[in-house]
Amino acid sequence: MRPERLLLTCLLLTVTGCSDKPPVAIDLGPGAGPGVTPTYDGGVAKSQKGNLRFKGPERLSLDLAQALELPASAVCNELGKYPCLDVHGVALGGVDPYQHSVYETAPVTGAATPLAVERTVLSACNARVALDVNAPSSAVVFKDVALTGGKLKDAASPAVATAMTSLVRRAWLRDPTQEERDTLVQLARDVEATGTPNPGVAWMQAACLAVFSSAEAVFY
Amino acid sequence: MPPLPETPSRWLVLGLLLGFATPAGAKPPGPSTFCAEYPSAPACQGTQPACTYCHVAPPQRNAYGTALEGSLAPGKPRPLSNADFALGLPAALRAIANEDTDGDKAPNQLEIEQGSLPGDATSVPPSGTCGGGENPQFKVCQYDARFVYRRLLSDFCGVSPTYVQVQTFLELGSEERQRAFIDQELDRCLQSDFWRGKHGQLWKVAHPKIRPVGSVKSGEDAGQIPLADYYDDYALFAWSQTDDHDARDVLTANFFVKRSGANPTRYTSVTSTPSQTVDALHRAGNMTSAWTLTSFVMFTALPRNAASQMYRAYLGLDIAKQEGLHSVASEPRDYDAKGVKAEQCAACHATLDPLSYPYRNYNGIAGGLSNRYLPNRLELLFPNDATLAQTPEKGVILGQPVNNLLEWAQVASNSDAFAISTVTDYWKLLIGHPPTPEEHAEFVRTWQAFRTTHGYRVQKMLHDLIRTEAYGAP
Repeated sequence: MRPERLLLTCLLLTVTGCSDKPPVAIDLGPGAGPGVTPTYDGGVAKSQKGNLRFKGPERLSLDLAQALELPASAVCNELGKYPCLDVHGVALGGVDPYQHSVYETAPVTGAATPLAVERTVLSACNARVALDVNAPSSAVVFKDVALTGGKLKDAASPAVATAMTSLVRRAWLRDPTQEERDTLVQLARDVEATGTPNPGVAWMQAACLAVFSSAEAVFY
Repeated sequence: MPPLPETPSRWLVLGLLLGFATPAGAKPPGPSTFCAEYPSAPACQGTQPACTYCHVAPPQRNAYGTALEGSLAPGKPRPLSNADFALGLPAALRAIANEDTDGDKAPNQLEIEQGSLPGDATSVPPSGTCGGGENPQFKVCQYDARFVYRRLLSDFCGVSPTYVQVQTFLELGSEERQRAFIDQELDRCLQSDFWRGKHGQLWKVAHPKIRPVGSVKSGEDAGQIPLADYYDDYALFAWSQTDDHDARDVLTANFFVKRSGANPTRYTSVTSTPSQTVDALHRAGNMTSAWTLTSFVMFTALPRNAASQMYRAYLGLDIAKQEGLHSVASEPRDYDAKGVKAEQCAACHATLDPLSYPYRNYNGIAGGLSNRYLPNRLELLFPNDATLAQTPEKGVILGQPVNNLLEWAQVASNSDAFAISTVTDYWKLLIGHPPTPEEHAEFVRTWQAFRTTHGYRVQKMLHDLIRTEAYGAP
């Protein structure tokens, strides 16, 4: 596994992991609400059914388009023109009835499915981040998140916390726990430590990918 | 034309099957005898257990079948006749009722009564227990309106609610108001193109039934060799599943349906369309569409493939998996000389061939005679085959004699199997799997209400389905 993927995987596990720490609210300003939800993972009730369903190509794309406020046609295209939900449709749990006689979805997840999910999510995230960074006045997720020399100017700023809460609300339809939000903010420092150019933008992309490719976002 | 025999009784079938049953194979009377012994078993509610209940693939037995064989008619010479098999089976079932043949710690009788499989260690009765702890995001083990709201919008509208929509939903307060809102949202989403539009979810349900092939499609989105337009089949299917239409129309309609518009997509019935050529007196919904005749009848004299596909697609009975076998005495006759009287073939063809006879006058691909009902089709197109010409138009479906394909469609669409198959389609689409043992009671209530209270209206059935714990308990 490539180091950056390992890092993201570890961070993702941390983001969705367990904690006994009580939540600490951050003031996001008037009318914004606390922006965090209590932790709930101590002694969590286990589902007897465990019947999570994978979103599949259409729902995944439509959810990304809605959540990241992108046109459906801009979510993910291979070579800039072939929609990912078509190119990777079967890998994403879809069907291909007319041309290849795939009339029903596969009963098991394919080996390429996680890659196709990450590909689709990363493409949508990159599109959103590019729009937010290049046109800050009309930014949707990373509003007022200042970058200096390609780096995040102040990871502790309310704008960063607000952006992370916004990201989580869009993907998980709930507020993040304090730890989840802190972990996403910490990701900025971890990305910087890899020495990648433009770590601020890389952090935005990574945070978006971590949230939108999580089990909570990909299954329903 | 030889007379078709009367509906055989089980015992008559047993007697007649003596001569050609596969010696060590699955026994046709097995399922019915099993259900006589366990009439309240979920596997016997409106259907019968498939051969795979006891077999991996006949004659190879699974753990339950192996144990049963050991207790079956001890001392009788093998292979057992069907009569000895049927007489000995009840005692054998009782003899191993308290055993745990698949080693999953659940006795056979408990598994049978609870709906799990006694020959499959991965299939166990529902535990009926729920874990402790708290989870503010989900009410596990009970109906969770918030979870249903999220899932419903994804399932029927194709997109999750937004954070704000979820908060607004929660502010409705009482579960009664939330459930009423969910019903409203379901009706709204059922009009969405994601659900009913071209390539939408209803079309997805229809794919395995219609089995399209793009290269031979005619009309809109035509392929290289345009032969028939299966979009008409999708349109009739979608019509039958939407608004206040009768789901049975998919098999019985003597009209056609045209699709138009988008957001919302509309389906309108018409009495004729250039893409369909079967005359009104011989139409039976998608069973006689141009695509069905082109794709499943093709050039065949006796269209077994068409009959078995309709049986599989709309009744959920796959003869290739030895499901829905209702052997007819003195069948198969083998009018087309395919050798189906051979004992390894006859067990299935005693059901399949009489199922296929009503298709004898429906023509597939033949130039200007394509996709039409042709009286005396076999005599016309196969003039040198006197035996083939004896093929009757009368047939048998689900043990019931029918005079023609229209009657076939009536019997099929009014059967338990049709209601079960229709609801199973949506169960799989919306819950993600066929009904499990613990979901069985809700499933039976749902298909029975679909058939009775709701008059085969899918939209009303879906309101029932989203109220089940199977759908709404995370």
